[in-house]
Amino acid sequence: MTVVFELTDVSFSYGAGVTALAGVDLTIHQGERVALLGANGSGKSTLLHMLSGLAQPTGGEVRAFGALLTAQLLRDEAQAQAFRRRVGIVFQNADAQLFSPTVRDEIAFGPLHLGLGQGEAQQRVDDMLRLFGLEALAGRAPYKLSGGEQKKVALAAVLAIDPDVLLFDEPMGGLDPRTRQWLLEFLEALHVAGKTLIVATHELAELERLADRVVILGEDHRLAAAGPVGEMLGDRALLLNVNLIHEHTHVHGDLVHTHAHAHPPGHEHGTEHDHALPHEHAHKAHGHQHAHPHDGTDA
Amino acid sequence: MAEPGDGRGGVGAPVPAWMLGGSSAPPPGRQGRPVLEKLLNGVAHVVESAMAADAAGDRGGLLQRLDPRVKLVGLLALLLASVLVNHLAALLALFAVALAFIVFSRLGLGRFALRAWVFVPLFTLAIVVPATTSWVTPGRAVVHLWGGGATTATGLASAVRLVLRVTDAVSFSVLLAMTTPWNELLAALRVLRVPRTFVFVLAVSYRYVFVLMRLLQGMVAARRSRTVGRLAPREDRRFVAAAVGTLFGHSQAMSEQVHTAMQARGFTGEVHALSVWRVRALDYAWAAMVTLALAAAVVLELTVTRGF
Repeated sequence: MTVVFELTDVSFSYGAGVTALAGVDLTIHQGERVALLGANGSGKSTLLHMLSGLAQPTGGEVRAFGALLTAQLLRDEAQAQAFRRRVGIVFQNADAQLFSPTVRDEIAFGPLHLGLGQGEAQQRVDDMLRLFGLEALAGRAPYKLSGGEQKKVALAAVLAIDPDVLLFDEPMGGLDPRTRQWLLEFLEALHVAGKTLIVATHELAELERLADRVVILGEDHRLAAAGPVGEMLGDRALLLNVNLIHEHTHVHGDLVHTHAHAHPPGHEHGTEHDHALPHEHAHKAHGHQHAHPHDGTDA
Repeated sequence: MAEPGDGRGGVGAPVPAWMLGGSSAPPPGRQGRPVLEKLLNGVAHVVESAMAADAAGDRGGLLQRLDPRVKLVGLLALLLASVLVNHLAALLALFAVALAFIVFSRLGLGRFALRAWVFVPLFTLAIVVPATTSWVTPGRAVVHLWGGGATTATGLASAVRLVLRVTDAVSFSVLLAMTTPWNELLAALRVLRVPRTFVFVLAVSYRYVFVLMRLLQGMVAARRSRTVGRLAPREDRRFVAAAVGTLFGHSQAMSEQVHTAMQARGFTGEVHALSVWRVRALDYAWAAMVTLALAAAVVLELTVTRGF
């Protein structure tokens, strides 16, 4: 498989000893779906910025499509245009991503600035508006859109460039359940279309639908582990260690019970449960499911 | 699950004792709003309202359906004419043109009057009143005043012309503002050869003023929710200064994020925009009407002035 990105001993510091990434080695192949997992502040966004050429490593090297990705390369307009046409990034902060006066202008921005003519840019805008069901919002200002609508516009604006690689920074953040479902299905469709997807997230719930491979960054900003989704999600000690799941404590009478779990969306801890029921059933009353020994010891 | 009062917060450290007892807060009393806080909130509200109003009402009105470029040039030409013509008949003719546009654009005379004819023309009238007196403008006395002076016919005529000129100019300006969304108006400036980069900077600034206003309102609300009793004016001023500084910092950070997002989609310094407008038959017809109106005003001006 063609290598899209190759990172060798990549580090990034903001200066004054503030490290964002340390010694990361990573290879991403064409057509892969990769999830970058890590707690807040582990370096996921920084890594995405480096993959999109918006930040340069302070140590190590980043190769994209076989070429060394440097500030010098991106200063060459032709090289920069060629790179930007192949790599698109959807930011976490919609307010920063949607800067144009209207939705139509927003979607047209990328094609126009990457060398497409007015006619072709207009065609892409029309196609994207139709694809995302945004025709009625074409003339509206971005700040007047809901969170889900903003996400669609941001996606449309990036896809209008038709990149081979799509980077997403916390794409599910702040979305209602219906929009989340729509986005998951859309990302699956992009994968089927052959796009390479790299998603930075700290949510485990939808991981199996989002990615085939997981790369986990620890709180020490280093690569903690990488591997298939099932294998990574099954390693509870690892997930606890990198602060992707937490220890949950509750009380059964005099018994204090601590075990590890993560919260899927919609999860609620009930305030009461029936102590008489077998433990598995008692925990189902909480609305989440797991199996563990009911013997008063930590899981 | 940790129970209330057991001191176990479930987060490792014990919950402080002062959080576990009942509330010791005094009952709520009257709380006045500091003046500067009201001012900040008011500014944010006005900016938001102005932006939310944008282009008014019925998009099916005459001016709303025009190409913004044609409309901008036409209304600017009429505004310029109202500044240059001197005779009352010509100024009245231009006012009649403005009235016709208001009616055919379905803007509502009452609403338009409130926006365009109440403050600026009245303020102009207040300024020009001294010039109607014989102490400033000699002439035939119309109304005798105390102190031996009088309101003169010449002075009154000058005052009426000035107020009418201001009313015409403001009417055409407000017509443009009420029938054109701000972003279209900015983009239409290109027809006047305003640099594309300048227009883009204005458009982005307009977009992010809203973001900063929301942030400001959030800061004001957060402060209010944690304020007990009245604050000294010095505290008020300190908060305003801090708010200004915080907004500046946020705008700085936001501008860097926006620039990064623009770079990610190919921006290298030169701005390109989509051209979506096409001049149609209605635009040509309207431009012809405006040209006729301007010609009529000029003919009136020359006819009356030179006595043809």
